[in-house]
Amino acid sequence: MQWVSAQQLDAAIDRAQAASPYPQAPVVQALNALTDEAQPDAAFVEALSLRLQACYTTAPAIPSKTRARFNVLTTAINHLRPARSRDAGGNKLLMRLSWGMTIVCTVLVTLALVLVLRPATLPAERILANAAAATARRPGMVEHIVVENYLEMTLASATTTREFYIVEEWRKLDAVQGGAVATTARSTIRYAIADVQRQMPISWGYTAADKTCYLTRDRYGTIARLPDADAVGCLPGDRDARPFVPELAAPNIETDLQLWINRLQGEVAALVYEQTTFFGKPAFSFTEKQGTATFTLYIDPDTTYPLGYVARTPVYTLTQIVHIYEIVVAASLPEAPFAWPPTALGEGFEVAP
Amino acid sequence: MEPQSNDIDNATLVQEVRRNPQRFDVLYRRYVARVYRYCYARTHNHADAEDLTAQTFLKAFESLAHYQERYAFAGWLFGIARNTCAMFHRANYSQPHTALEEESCSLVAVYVLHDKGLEQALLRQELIACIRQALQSLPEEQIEALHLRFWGALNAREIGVALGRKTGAIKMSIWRAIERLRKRCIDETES
Repeated sequence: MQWVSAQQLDAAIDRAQAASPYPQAPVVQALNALTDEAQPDAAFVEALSLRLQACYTTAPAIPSKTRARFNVLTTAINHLRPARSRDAGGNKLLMRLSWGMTIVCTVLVTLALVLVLRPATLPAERILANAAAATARRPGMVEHIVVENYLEMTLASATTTREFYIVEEWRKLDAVQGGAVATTARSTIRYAIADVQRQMPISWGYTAADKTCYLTRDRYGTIARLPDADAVGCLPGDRDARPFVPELAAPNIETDLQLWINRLQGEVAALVYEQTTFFGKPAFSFTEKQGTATFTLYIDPDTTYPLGYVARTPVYTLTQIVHIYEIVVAASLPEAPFAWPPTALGEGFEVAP
Repeated sequence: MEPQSNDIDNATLVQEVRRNPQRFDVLYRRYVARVYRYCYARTHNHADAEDLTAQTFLKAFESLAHYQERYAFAGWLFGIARNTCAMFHRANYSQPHTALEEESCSLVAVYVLHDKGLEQALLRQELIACIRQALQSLPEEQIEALHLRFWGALNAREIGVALGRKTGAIKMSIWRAIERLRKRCIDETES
């Protein structure tokens, strides 16, 4: 048996990265992976913060453990979770009346909106043509996409695994030989699913003809790079880093959207086309079947931008919800999405050895 | 120039909170995700984890006057979280939950999407599934140390404060737990 000291172990756990050679590394990585999804909901974090602040105002000094003070705190907890709240009878009646009025008003307003704003039926060909035009790529532009990904996968052992995260991607579009438009630089940032404001990147990726770069930041704030990468996490050349770097392999909806829409335009007769909703938004859906798999693209009837994508196969179900899809002029960008190292890291950041 | 909240150490922050309770929000935001993950690992349920997280911070706020700076703040806070979770278990279950819900794993989505390395991704998933199961066979004290180390992201000294044990003993406990998981899920599979 290979013994290591307790100090060595503690340091090794802190350093644990994908390429770490020490024998416990796979177990440490698996334990880390187990914790990735267990993030508090952003709404919960804000609600609890507000409730704590309410405690500060009711208790300007540090509260003593009196019964009355404890009641204030307990009430605050109870109000955090309305479904579990334990209100007095009178409050319950008022709350029910209030909820009843709210529901009635919501139904009426929804009905009115549905009747007034319901989009007119358009033929599938027209929708797809509009979508193709809306997502057309032109040289000098930058495509900016933010997607929320949910993957559920059933393993051979009959266990089910789920993965959730948010990906933001910036793609620089330029003219290449033959007049075609191609992505000449790609910057990809990944966030935890709870980080809806995109404040705390988990990783940054960059690919261009001259280099491929990738950095991660773990929960301890440690910045790590790919094996053999330079001091700022770059490898020379436009190598295919995708097998090693998930974030550089953009979701389908980003990579293949144009080709996909073009292909759908030629297969309209074989598609299932519906007016439906996608996560509460009106949508046109186009579903195609390939063997046992079905793939559905949802398009916004107003903007004809993609709203999302759902792939269902016997092994996995992938749902992608588009938060942002825009094609903007490069010169108008308020930030420098293609800068490397990422500007968000600031100067003098340290990469783990 | 005033220091950023992120740069202020816990001891200074605690002193500030004693003068101005609203500064507690900085401590709260610094630790809420870690406390939540720890409570989630103990309860296996998002709603219960939210309740226990709320109770932990309210108890911490209430008890801050009793906190002694010579102990690591994170260890003190997670000691409260640990007691809160333990009380929850005593009230709700005869045995503490050590099973872990299906969790995220990295790489799988993209491996699948690009049909690259699917076999590797599945093997990795099998490892995670094995570890999830093997965790339940560890002694309770080792499970507790792993929860605090990985879900709470505490270092050995802080775990020592939370569990009332010496730092060296905590490090050895974590090392033994990881070794057991490795033997169970890697060595046995390879042999």
